[in-house]
Amino acid sequence: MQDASNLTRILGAIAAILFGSGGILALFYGANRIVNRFSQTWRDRILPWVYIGPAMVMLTAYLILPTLRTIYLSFLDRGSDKFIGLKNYTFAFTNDAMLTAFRNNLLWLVLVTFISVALGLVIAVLVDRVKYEPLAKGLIFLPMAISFVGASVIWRFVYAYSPPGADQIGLLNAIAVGLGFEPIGWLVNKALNNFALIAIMIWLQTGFCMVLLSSAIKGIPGDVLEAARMDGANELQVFWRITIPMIRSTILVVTTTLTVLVLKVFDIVFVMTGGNLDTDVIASLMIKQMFKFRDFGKGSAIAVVLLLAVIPVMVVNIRRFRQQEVN
Amino acid sequence: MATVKFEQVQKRYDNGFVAVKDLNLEIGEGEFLVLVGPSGCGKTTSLRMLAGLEDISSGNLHIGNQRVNDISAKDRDIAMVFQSYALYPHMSVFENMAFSLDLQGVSKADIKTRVTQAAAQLGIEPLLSRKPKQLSGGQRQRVAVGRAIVRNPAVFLMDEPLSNLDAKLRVQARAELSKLHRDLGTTFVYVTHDQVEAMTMGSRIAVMNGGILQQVDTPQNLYDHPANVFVAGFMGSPSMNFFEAVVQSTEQGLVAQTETFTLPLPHDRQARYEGHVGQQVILGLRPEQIHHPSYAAPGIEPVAVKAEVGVVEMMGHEAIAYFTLPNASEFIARVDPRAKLMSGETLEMLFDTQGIHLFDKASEALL
Repeated sequence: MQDASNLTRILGAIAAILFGSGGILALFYGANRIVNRFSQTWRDRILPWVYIGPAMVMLTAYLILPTLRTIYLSFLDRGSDKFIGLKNYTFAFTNDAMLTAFRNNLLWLVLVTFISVALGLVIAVLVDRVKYEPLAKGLIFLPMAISFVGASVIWRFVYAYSPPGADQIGLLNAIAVGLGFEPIGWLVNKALNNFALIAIMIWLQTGFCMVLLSSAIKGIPGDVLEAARMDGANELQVFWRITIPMIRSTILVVTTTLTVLVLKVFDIVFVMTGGNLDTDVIASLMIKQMFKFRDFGKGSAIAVVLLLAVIPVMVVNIRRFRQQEVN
Repeated sequence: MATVKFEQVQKRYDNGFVAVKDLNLEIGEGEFLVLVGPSGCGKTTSLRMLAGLEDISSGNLHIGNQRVNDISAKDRDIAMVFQSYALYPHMSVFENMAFSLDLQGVSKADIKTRVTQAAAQLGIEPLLSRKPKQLSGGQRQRVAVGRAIVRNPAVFLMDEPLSNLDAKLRVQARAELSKLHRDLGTTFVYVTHDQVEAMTMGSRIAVMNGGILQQVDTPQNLYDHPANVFVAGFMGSPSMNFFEAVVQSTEQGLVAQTETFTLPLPHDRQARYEGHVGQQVILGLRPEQIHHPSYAAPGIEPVAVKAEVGVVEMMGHEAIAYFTLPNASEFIARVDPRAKLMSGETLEMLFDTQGIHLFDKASEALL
C-alpha cells in the first residue's frame, strides 16, 4: 500500500518534469515556427519578445501583480472592504509587538551578517593554508544543504531543556549540567532566546560566506601577496591592506545577500518558538497577521515595509553586479 | 648595497624533485648579475630563494655578511620586480610606491618626497594618481621598478621584468634599466630566459640548466669561451653549429675531421689538443664564423666547405642561411645580405678555423 502510493508519487513527479520542460520546449519551438513565417524585418522585431515573453508573463503574474495587489490591500481594512488610509502603517510603526520585531530584526541583521561574514572570512583565510582544506571546507559548508526547517529541528534538540534533576537530552544543557551548572532554558529565557535563534542562522550561513570568500581569496594573484611581503608587510598587514581590499566586492555581495536573506527569515522563528517570548521578527509577524489573525490589511502593510527595507540592498547589489560586468 | 653569496644551496621539493643543485655563486657589491637559462632551469627558484619566498633545503645564503636562510622576506631589505609587475590593484601608483615606506613608518612628508623623486627618475610623475588598471604595460613596468627603488634596498631582484613588453619597448626598457643600475650603484640580480637581455645588461652572466650552474662570466667571455656545449648553444642567436668530429694528427698538424669536411685546428691551440688525438669530439662554430666566398671578412683562416643552400631568412642588415651538407647534416651561416643566395644552389662556404670550439663528446665540456 505504502509502496504503491510512493510509486504513483514518483511517476507523478516524473510526469510533471517531462510535462513542464516539454511544455516549455514546445512553446518556444512553436513560437519560433510561427515567427519564421513572417518577413525578415518583422521577424527581427518580434523574435526577442517571443523569447522573453513567457518569462515576462510569468513574472507579471506571480511577482508584479501580487506586489501591486499587496500594496493596494495594505490601505484597506482587515477584510479588504474599506479604505482606511495609512492606519495599517501607523500600526506597523507603533504597535509594541511590531517594535519588538523591528528590534529583533535589527539584531538579526547585525549579528548574522557581521558574524557570518567575519567567521567565513577568517575560516577562508585559515583553511587556505592547511592540507585538508577540502574536508574542512566541506564540513563547514554542509549545513548549507539543510533547509531552515530541518536545521531548526536539529537545533531544537541542541537547545532542549528538562527540569533540573531529569536527564538532559539537549546537547548544550547536558554540557552545562555535566560541568555542574543548572540547565538553561535557551529558548525561554528572554535574554537569550533571540541569540539562540540567531546562532542557528549563523551556523547555516557561515559556510556560504566561506565558500564565496574563499574563492575570492584564491583569485588574488600569489605574486601580489609576495610583493607585499617583500615590501615588508607581516601576515596581518597583508590581510588587512591587500587581501581585504582586493576581495571587497565579494564581501559586499555576500553581505547584501545575507541581509536580504535575514530580512526574509521567518521559518527558524516559526519552528523554534512560534514567535513567542519576544522572538518575533517582521516576517513572522506578517505571517501571523495574515493567516492567524486573518488581518489582510495589517499583513499587507508589514509586507510592504519589508519590501521597502529590501529595495536599497537590492539596488546596491544590482549596481555592484553591473560594475563587475563592465569590468 | 650588499654582496650576495650562495653556498652549496639546494632546493628540493617534497616530491623529491631537485630544482636547484649545489649552487655556489658570489655576487659582488653593485654588480648586475643576470641569471639566464631555459625555462625550468632553476633560475627563478634561485631568485625566489634569495627573495625569501622559497625555503632553502640545504646550504647557506648570505646577504652582506648575514646568513639569511631563516630570515623572512620582509626582513631581508631586498626589493623585487615581478614578471607580472604584481602591482596592488586597489592602490594608486603613489600608494603602490609608498606602501613599503608606510610600513616602515616613514613620515608622510618623507614618503611624498621619496616617491616623487623616484617617479621623476622614471618619468611617471603624471601617473601618480592613477590606478594600475589605467596604465599601459610599459607604464606598469615602470611603476613596478619605481616601487622597488623608493625603498633604497640592499639588493634588487628582477624576475623577467621585460617579458611582457612588446619588442620595441623592451629595447628601450633594457637601456633604461642599465642606466638605472649605473645611477643607483646597487646590486642587481636579474632573471631572464632571453640571452639578448643577458648579454646587453649583465656585468656578469650566470648560465643555468637543469638546476645546475653551468658557467659564470662576463658576457663577452661567456660568448667567446663557453665552458660546455650547453652554454655554447644557449648564448648567441642563431645558435652555434655543432658537428661530430674526430681529432686527427696529420703532417700539417692536428685537424678535426668530420664526415664531410676536415678543418685544421688553430696553430696556437695545437698543444692544447695534442692529448685528444683519435678522440670523438663535438666541433662548434658560430654562424658568423661561416662566410660567403665573395664577402669573407679579412684576417680569417678560411677552409672551403661545399654545401647546398636551403632556407634563407633576409633580415635586412644580414641574412640567416640554412645549409645542408652532403651527409644531410645542417648548419646555419650569417652572411652578407648582398650575397644573393638562391635556395637549392651549391657553393663553397668559408669556415673560419679560428672560431673553432672543441668539446668532449661524452662530457660535453670544453677541451
